[in-house]
Amino acid sequence: MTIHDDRIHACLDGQLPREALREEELRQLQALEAALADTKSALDTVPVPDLTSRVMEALPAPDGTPATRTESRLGRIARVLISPVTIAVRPAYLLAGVAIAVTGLMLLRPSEPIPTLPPVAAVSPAGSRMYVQFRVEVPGATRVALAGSFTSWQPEYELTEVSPGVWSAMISLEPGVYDYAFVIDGTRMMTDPHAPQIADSFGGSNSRLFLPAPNESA
Amino acid sequence: MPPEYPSKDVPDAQIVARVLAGEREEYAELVRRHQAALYRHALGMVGSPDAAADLTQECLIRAFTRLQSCNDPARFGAWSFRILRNSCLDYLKDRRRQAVGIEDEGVLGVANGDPELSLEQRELREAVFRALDQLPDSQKEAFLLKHVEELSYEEMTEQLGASTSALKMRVKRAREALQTLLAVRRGEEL
Repeated sequence: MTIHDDRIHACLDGQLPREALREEELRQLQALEAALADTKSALDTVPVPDLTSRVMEALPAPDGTPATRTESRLGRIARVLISPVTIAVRPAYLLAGVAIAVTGLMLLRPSEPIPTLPPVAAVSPAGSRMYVQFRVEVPGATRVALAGSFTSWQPEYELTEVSPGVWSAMISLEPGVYDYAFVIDGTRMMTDPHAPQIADSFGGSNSRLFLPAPNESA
Repeated sequence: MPPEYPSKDVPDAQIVARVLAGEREEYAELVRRHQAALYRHALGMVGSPDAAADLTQECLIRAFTRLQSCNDPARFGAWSFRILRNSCLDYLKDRRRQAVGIEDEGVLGVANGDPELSLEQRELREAVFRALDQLPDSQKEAFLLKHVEELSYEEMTEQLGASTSALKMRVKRAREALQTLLAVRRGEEL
């Protein structure tokens, strides 16, 4: 007889009465039950904290303004554990891309609507941080905020409506790879239609921003 | 101050509808109702009370920001559990990638520092968390749902998206592994 017979597990699952087990099976059943009781008992020794206040204080405000940001221990661990993945690219390509985007914007006639674009990056003279412009078209929105892996998914950055329905914000970021989404009117998330889409863990998707270090070569 | 409900008679779906209608403070009741089950699962998965609290908090905040995508508000608990489950698996992946163990997470130190626990309870907690930490994630989560949350296999199938036979096998292997690991502590012969 095997030590862990399927009949014993069927008994533990309530599909076989204890009386149906042989003596040796019953002994094995009791050993398994002891291990299960130990496990449950050990977990029960850890008190369940009341997280209600913590959660409610950290919720985004109804008007879309960011809640007071309290970095959790998980956030601290995640910040340490998750190193940004940098994509090597020749600096000239990055600068050329920025130049093309800026030139394209300058060539537009003022009467034309301002188009939305993928995030545009420019190197900060101060060092490795880069200024990234996010722009999105959301007709009818009263408030648009930006949340992402760089804000622990808190909608920290408010976008400004630069023309009817077109919202924009410029923020500085370190080189790396970031996931982000726009928070519309403080109630719903929206991906950036001009950026690559990445599936998240909840059946939805986020937008992804690749921000190569300016001093990296391909 | 979040409102207190006189009873649990108000269904989750009704509270979800109120929150979506702008009564943000009502969300506190959903937190109160579901935080214990979520926390217990996170604790069993990651083995650290602090990390479990953080994961639970993050899950409940994410659930709030994505509440409109909750297609069946009557099953808010199951929906938020799926958020937590993914966060726990991601957390464990990160921890393994960084070769961080439960010792580094402080669970064993927390147990030692709890004056309410007897020496035997501390040793048991340490042994159980070490044993759980050695289980594959898929076995561990199936085991916790079966024996801590006491779900049926049908409910587990819905939560984990695996077949009943696959879940039974995971639970069986987890039981056997835990018995073996904990028997060593008790000095039992296998």
